Amino acid sequence: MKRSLFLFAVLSVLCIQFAWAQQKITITGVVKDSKGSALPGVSVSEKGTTNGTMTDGAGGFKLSASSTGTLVFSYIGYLKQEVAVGGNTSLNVSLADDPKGLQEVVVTAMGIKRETRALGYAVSTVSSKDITQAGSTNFASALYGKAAGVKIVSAPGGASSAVAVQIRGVSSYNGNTQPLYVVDGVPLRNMNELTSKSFGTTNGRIDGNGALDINPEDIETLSVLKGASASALYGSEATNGVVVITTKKGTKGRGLGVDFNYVVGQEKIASSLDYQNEYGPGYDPQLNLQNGIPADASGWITDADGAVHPYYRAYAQFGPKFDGRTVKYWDGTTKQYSAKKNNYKDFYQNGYNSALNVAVSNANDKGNYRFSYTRTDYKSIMPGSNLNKNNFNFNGTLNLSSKVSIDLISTYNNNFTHNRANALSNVFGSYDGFFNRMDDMNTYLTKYQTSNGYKYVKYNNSGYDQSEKFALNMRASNVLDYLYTNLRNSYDETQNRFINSATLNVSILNNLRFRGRIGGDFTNLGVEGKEHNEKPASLGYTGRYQIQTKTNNLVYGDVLLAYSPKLTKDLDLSVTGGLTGRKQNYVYQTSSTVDGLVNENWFSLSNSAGTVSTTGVRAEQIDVAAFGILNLNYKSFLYLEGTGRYESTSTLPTANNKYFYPSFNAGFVFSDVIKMPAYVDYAKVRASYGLVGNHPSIYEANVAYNQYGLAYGGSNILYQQPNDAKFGNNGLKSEQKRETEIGLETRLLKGKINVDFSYYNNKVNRQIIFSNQAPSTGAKSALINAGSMSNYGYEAAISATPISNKNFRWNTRFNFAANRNKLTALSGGQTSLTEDVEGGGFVIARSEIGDPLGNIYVHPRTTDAKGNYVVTDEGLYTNNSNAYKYVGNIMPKLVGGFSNTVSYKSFSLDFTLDYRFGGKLVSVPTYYQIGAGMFKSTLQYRDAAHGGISYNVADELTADYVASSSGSRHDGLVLKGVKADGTPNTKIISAGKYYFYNYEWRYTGDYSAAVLDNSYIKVREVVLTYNMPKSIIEKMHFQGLQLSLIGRNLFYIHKTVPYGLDPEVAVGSRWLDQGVDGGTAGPTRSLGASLRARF
Amino acid sequence: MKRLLINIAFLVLLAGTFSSCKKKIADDYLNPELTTTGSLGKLLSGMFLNKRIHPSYWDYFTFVMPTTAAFSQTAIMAPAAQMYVPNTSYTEGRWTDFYNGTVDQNKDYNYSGPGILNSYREMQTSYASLSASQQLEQTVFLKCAQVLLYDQTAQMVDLWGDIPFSQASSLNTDRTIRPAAFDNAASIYDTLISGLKEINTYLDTTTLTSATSTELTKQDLLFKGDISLWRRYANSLRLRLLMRVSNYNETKAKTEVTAMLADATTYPLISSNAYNAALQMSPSALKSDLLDVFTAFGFAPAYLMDTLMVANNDPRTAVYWDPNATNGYKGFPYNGTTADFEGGGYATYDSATFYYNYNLPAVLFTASEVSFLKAEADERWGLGTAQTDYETGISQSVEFYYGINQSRILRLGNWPVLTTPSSAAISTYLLKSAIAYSGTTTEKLAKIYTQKWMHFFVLQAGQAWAEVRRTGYPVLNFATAGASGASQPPVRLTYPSSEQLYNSANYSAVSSKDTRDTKIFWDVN
Repeated sequence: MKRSLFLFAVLSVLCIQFAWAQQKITITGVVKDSKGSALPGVSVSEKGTTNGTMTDGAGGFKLSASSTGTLVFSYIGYLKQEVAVGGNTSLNVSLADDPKGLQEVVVTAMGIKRETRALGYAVSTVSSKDITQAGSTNFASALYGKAAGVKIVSAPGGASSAVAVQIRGVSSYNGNTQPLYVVDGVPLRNMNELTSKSFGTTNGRIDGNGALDINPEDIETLSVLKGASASALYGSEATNGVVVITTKKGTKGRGLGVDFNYVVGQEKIASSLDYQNEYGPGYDPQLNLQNGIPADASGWITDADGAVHPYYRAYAQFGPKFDGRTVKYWDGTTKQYSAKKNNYKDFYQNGYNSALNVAVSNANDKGNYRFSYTRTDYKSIMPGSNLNKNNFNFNGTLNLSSKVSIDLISTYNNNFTHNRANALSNVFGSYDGFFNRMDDMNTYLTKYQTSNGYKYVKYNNSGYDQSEKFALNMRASNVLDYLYTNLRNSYDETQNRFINSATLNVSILNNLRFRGRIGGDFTNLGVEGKEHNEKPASLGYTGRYQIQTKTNNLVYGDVLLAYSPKLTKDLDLSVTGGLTGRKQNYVYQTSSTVDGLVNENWFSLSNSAGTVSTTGVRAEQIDVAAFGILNLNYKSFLYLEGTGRYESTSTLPTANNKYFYPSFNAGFVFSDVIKMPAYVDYAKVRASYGLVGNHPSIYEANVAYNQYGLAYGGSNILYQQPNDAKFGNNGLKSEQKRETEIGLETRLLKGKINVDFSYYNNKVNRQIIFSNQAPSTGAKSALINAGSMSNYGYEAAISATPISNKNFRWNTRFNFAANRNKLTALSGGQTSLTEDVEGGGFVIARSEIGDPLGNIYVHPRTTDAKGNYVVTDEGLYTNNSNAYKYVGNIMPKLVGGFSNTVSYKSFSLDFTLDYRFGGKLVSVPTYYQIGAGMFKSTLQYRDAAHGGISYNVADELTADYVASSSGSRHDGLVLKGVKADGTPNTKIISAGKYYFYNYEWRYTGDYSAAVLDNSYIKVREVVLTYNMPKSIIEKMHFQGLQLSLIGRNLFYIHKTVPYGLDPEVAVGSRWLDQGVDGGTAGPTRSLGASLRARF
Repeated sequence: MKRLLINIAFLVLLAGTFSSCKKKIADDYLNPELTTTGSLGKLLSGMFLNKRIHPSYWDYFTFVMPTTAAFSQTAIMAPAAQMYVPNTSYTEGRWTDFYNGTVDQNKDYNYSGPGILNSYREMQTSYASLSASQQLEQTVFLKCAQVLLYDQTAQMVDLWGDIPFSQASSLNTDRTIRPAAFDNAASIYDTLISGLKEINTYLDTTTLTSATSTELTKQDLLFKGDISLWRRYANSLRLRLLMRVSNYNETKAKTEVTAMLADATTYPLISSNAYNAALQMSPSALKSDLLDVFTAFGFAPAYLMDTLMVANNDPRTAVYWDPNATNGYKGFPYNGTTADFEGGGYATYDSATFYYNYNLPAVLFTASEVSFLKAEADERWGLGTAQTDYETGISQSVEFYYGINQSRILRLGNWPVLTTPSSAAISTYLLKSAIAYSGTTTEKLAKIYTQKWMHFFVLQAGQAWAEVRRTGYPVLNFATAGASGASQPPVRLTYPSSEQLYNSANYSAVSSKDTRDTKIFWDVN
């Protein structure tokens, strides 16, 4: 049997060889450009067959083809050329530049490749070079400023933290706002949890998202489908646009190729806040007296033993002026009383990023493959955080016959994250995190734990390690807690993720093709948390051990049948129909010790003081759809397309879970029809209309009771609990977005200038919103279809090559996007969409019908009938807490980027700027820091030189101050305004009191100071590259060798936010979070180098 | 062509698969971890786990100690300019726990637990879907829940005055969003007072089927299905509410209280500690966990400690407090400074009874309070022997607190179990001039109020604060705080911003009353 099989195989091969010999001849040749340079990578195919090859590095090719056939030579940027074989075995071809058409091919929805010129909608593409050259740790943060209308927000924490991508403004009020990622045809799981639609924090740690697992080095092309028509085939997943990623394959013509890339860089804190360095910790004298703080008028406290020190418990910095004297520090040592100017920067550490990538690829007629391995090591600037990643990628195509081929793509991603960076809201957004201007970070870094590994010992803790007890009460215990959590304890996440897909392509007939695909995205995440005992077990059990497992499974399949008959000489038709389905599973289990660890620092569930707590959650979501596409092409200048998708999803109530998404678009290359001026090479208008949707996240809509068990009185009591928030809605419908788009593409002056302009207008109906409700309604928020919202905007991408000669070339790309948004209708008797940004109603985001999203309001100052500020007897302003005043909108007016490539001989310099104009940043932590006298700006009024009034103290407790030019103090001011009786205010208050109360937490604080203008221009990336000359590298047996120096997130050319604040502090995947700073880590800057070699 | 046929067949197969998905899609709409079938018994059990009912870390740390306990001086806090301005996020939490509760997968009852009103409304919703005969059997769950609801509703009124009540929780009734109007505080009290009378009648006359009785025994964490104890709780609560409004509407209070006290058979009360409405902790997941609370707010207030307890050799001193190693039973003065606070040296809450006790009960109603309420009625309206009720109240209080000490379950450490003082020791105490039931009516009432306040202590600080406001006793001094317009404690809490923002139309009707110095209707002194 075996033998006969072997014989059969041999015979078959011989037969095929024989058959070829009958019809075919081997043709060799070289392809060159019009200047005579060899062109590698040119596609050479036999017309009317799938037979083809590509030219090698020297432009040479070798192909077996029919002696009577025709060869087609095509290459991006050159005119397609057809050459009849005519029996010749040698063909040398010269390709002419193609200034007219964009023969570029882009991957569109459902993985269908189309020529750019045939598209009726906008697509932004980003090349592999743009993604990798600056050594970004993930592909998304490499997109800053590179695609018009695509806004990137990276969370602090570097490689382990999520990146948000927002396309064309806000499409959903508080549903998912992240685009769908489709990698080689398979929709990817983006969020870590199926139940989480926004990256946020777990245990205060900044989460990552699924997009981080796509290895930048493996990306060949990335296209962003922005409008509804472009993405309509993805239906409910497509409201926020779609990012279609194609990974690298083996390319013909190189033989066995090996790529070696190494990027290494250092990451540092980029800038510090503008802290004042003149005054130390303390409150104003009146407050000291009121609270019984035994400080003298300058803020000095003298202990019984004669030691002198400021009041370290104060979070404010209105204490004694720095004079360099020797003082007792809170840890019991003595220190010089002077500002530690760099203590903000000292909190952070120097991080680094290193990424090594090796890829092997090959291709021939039978198929191609590429195998790539990438190792990433990352250390964050946040103390105690690091990350290691291994990424394996295989991408292969097997040509089973001329009609059948199989694509196999497999990615294995292995991540280890140690102590994912924490949000620093407890440090910068809480008074208990406010370290003072003389605080020494070294003390914090050594004192957060005792020498026995227990938690720091506060001044009033008489339990343990008494020799290390703090001598005095101090403030910034949250900083110590942060360090204890991240340096002493560990939270380790190990993630294994497999993304696989297999695609079968069958050419049934010449004009009938079938494609079937099955793919999966499987993630297993294991978490182990170890919290050490904070004090000896004899004083109470502390510490915790927890293990978690999360499994996310996504199975995807689609089938597609495309029929493209030639109707007439001028009209091409193509009809495609298909089915697609996706099932997602999520399983989460966690077990944790309760009430501490009995044996100190033994991390085991069996060491739990209380009954071990175990929780499990599972979820499943199914989406299925049938779709169809109809394409018409008239003489290759008029293109029409219609698509439809009929879909059903499990996340909506059964009565409302089926819907239809149509779209239409047209492209008209009018430069082919109408006589254009000579400088116009190519011009096209396009128009599209589409409908896409958004459904709620899994299980959000259903209304049900939580049922739990409680061990009570010897038995297990089951009890039920209705939801306290996020109340469901069994009548919910899907959200729908209609979008109309028109655009213009043109190439001018022999391709020197390219312009792509779009205008779009969309309306999102039946917004799915977790609408905030008064608690007395039954829940703090409830799911509703809330009304409508519209967006319109302009996007343009302009690229130009002003200079291009043999040695010097300058290419420049500029893009901008402007989006305007408006709430057009509300339902169910609602009059506004309101969110409490600050928590106590002091800063709210409120939009009424007709307003854009992101209008910020604060309480106004109390005024009299004439509009004068009313000043209290104490000399302070108060708020009118029953009213709100508008203080700005957080949406940017204009965003975009500006990229340049300047090359001179073997050197090239790439630099990318991105910018934002207009809109506000709400930074409540900054506001609190003003009140605490942290910034240079708060020096105003503190002494005569800074405008302070001189006065004498008549009575400190009532702050009865009398102005006097020879006064003993010089930090007075009088607030403008009137007293209750209408007469002008004359009450002198101290500067310390002014800042403390005028910018305090709630009560009388003026929160308009938390709302800041936010425009900036940032130098995002600078890359200087040296390409080794061919003469040298050939001797070294390389095909290419490149060395680069890299800088990322370098500096701002322009920024409007004051106090040294970073304009990008506000992070989150949601539009509102992107305008509200909750207290985050400082900005980073990376400098590094890369080596890219091919051999 | 054959190929084409095969492919068409394949497509048909896929289409079939597609339609079979339909059922699966419908099934996947529902979260498998949740149930859509509400159960009255299970919802009732949930209400006991509300984190404001039992001693939870969050309630004590963020609300009880800095608000009700501090304003009634049953606890002290570090001096600060804003010490009399309650943290609005924390008071909002108190509000939302009544209406919504908090869901938490990890079920840490220090931070989460069901709400009161929404659970009750869901019980009504489930009840409405039952058949008439099922309803008859299940009514008892609704009635028990109603007692608990009324107790908590009255406490909400005592803190805020007018609150959304009769129209509140529309999401839990018909799943629609209808912002609720604020009901007048006095009329809410009327509703509660008349409702409790009806509940008493219902509980007196109902007979439970054995199935219902079994279920109630299991799901009723408070009284294990003992209907007679629910009657005592309902009547005692009614007595408290009537006395609370007695300065506002004395005629009504006097009439109703007279009728109640005259007929102990129809209106049984919590007349002994054996009948107390005190939810025992089951030191598993549900336990009192107040170590960190008493670490932060540990000092004894000087008036309670020095003036009342030490000066009169109060028999409860040892069970309430641990003496300071240096200064013994010394309280923190009301006007102590930050330096004093940081310096320490004051008596602290008792380690075994409070700090380390996992079994500090959820105190809803005790016999001692009933005795003091009766004593007040006796004294004011000549209904009975005020002195006997007063002295019984003190004895019951002593017995109650020593009972807590004796039933403690220590998380750590080892302290001797305290024995209940002898009746002789209590008699000696009752002879002290500051304690003895003597003097003018005003002085006698002051003693009743003061003893009741001492009995409430931190365990019922909300009641302590309400009674201090109603009666004006004990007369407490408070340090003057620095904050503008908030130098003394408020007389009510202001509404949370979520009601202002999201229930704005109804809020505007009460916004003029929404100040820190608008007295609750029963606060007429």
